[in-house]
Amino acid sequence: MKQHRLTIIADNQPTMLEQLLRVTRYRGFKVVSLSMQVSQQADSASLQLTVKSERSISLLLNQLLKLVDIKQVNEDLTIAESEPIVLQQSEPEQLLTEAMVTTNNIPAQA
Amino acid sequence: MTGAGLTLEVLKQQGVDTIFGYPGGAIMPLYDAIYDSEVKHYLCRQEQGAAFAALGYAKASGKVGVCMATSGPGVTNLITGLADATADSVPVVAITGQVATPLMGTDAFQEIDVLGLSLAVTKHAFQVTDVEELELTLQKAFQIAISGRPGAVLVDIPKDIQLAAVKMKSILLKPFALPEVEPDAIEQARKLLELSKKPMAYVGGGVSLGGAVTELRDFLKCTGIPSVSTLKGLGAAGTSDDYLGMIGMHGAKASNLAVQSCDLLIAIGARFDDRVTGKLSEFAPDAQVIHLDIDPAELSKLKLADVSVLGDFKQTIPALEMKLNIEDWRQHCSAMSQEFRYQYVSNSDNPLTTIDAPSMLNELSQKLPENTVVTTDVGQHQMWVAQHMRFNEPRNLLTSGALGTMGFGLPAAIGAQLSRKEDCVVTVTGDGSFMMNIQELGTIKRFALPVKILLMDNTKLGMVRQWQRLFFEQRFSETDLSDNPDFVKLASAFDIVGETISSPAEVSAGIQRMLNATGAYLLHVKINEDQSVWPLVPPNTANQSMLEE
Ligand SMILES: Cc1ncc(C[n+]2csc(CCOP(=O)(O)OP(=O)(O)O)c2C)c(N)n1
Repeated sequence: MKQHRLTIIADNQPTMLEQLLRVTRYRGFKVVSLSMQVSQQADSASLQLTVKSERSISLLLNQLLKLVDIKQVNEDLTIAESEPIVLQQSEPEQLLTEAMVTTNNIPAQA
Repeated sequence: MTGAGLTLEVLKQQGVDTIFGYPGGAIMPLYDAIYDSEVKHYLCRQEQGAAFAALGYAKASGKVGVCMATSGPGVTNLITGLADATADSVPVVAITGQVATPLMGTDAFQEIDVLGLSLAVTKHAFQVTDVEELELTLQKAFQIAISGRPGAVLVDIPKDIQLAAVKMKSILLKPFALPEVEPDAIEQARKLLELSKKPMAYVGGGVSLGGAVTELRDFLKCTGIPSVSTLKGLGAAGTSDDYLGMIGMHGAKASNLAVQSCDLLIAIGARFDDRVTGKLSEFAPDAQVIHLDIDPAELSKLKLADVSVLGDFKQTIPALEMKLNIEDWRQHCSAMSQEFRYQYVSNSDNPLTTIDAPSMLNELSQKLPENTVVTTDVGQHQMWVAQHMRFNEPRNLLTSGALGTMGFGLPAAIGAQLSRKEDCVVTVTGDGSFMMNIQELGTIKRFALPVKILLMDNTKLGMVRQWQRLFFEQRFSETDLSDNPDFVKLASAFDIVGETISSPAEVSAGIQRMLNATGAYLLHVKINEDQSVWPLVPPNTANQSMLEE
């Protein structure tokens, strides 16, 4: 499992923080730490978010950048926290695959 | 003017002349403004119906669909439709009423946390708390809904903001610029194409959404590359011989086999959905991948692309045109396509006593007037439509792809009919799905819409039952609908003419009567409860390992 420290610049809209945390959770990342400073005019915010996951960080970065309120996301640092939990195969792409196909027992189109 | 009046002015500025909705307390000022507005409001009979009508309107026309609902239960009813629109990348703007700002956050009557509820199923959601922000917010909503990969956007407007006085500034926002195409990516993709002996185009719904159907067809023609399609991409490749059919769980055998053996997969506006790829690690195992999309988050999301081409399909697809020398592969694909073609039994010479659903849909497909819009619900009938009907244009097939929402077909047909008044609109539905938004028969009646309804009645939740038969030891838990209502009587209560047919010999004439009808028509077709959709790739299985009849 890897940890990633992100620096985020965002519009300080009421929906911003909620969207950020929702997408982080939904895409399979856990929040390790979060801090936020609002600009003097209160219109923009800068955040430092550290997350951990078995998934590739680019998955989260791409999804965060799609959010209307998020202006910029940079990955400052990656820390290998502990040995990755290997599901079956060890390629990162496979890890994602295995995790993503577990919903497959549902009827077609269900 | 008031906030409500301004809202309608912005709609007009955005070219909106049709909205679907349902009134209630918190949105009354807006409905009061609609009372003498030029914008035509169509009352649906449940907010979910309004959302799907807006979706059908948008998908069939390429314009933005607009729906409205009141606070609380009005919004919760809209949510499924907004989720469906976002999942299938359809531009929809939803405007919802909210309790007045001083009451917000007090659990007031019909108050619900709209942002909390909608952010997860929309591209974005806004709540306007200052009337001076209203115009810009509405403009932004349209801008976001149509830019890049489209989706649903919600604007929540508290009642006091609808009533507040405001001056219009006449702001007009254009769609965001699309990302620049990287010449490097094009060059790398062209190299892979040049080297490929067995290339395959995997076409998704994005091509039509990006307005690049012509570019795609030119590319396929110029290169001679065979193509397969996802459910949402049906119609994009046209009817050329090099088009092999749908891929995936219920894909054509030739399509799935060809993809499994290609050496270069060119994914265009498609996102490697699990219903398409089967077991992902074994999907197109020998292929390098070129992935073209407008949404950077889709590139390499599930399958690592060797070359990712981000940008407007109208630029990226033509940039890959070249002559290729792949005659052997083309012949191989076309021979497979011939060999595995479905053998239709003409309903008039069918020796069986029950109607063969695929053959009926094939006949319907051939008899439809040009530019007919077909909408479907979800289940076996949907897959049969995808397999056995031919579409010349993606906008002529409206179906709930990513979310697979039963209840989509009827309201989507209403929206489609209102966006394309001259065109024939047929909804193909199942007895389970039809009942999910049956109240919309009231909308058809009120506006005298000539929507044709082909109801395939197997007295079962057919698709779920098929899975119970195959994977749950025939334990048919809660999938029986043999006490269905009398559908023809039900339609007639809404002044809709209808008939029931049950034997193969009645099919041709039944279809003809339905298509000849000037008004709405219900063709209630009784089919065998045990007919299954074939082929079927079991979940988490490689696509070549399909089950067949
Ligand atoms: C809103 C919703 N609920 C449940 C499902 C799960 N589901 C998928 S197909 C299906 C059966 C559909 O039955 P019917 O409309 O009669 O179509 P058939 O499969 O018989 O053609 C069900 C329940 C769904 N897709 N959507």
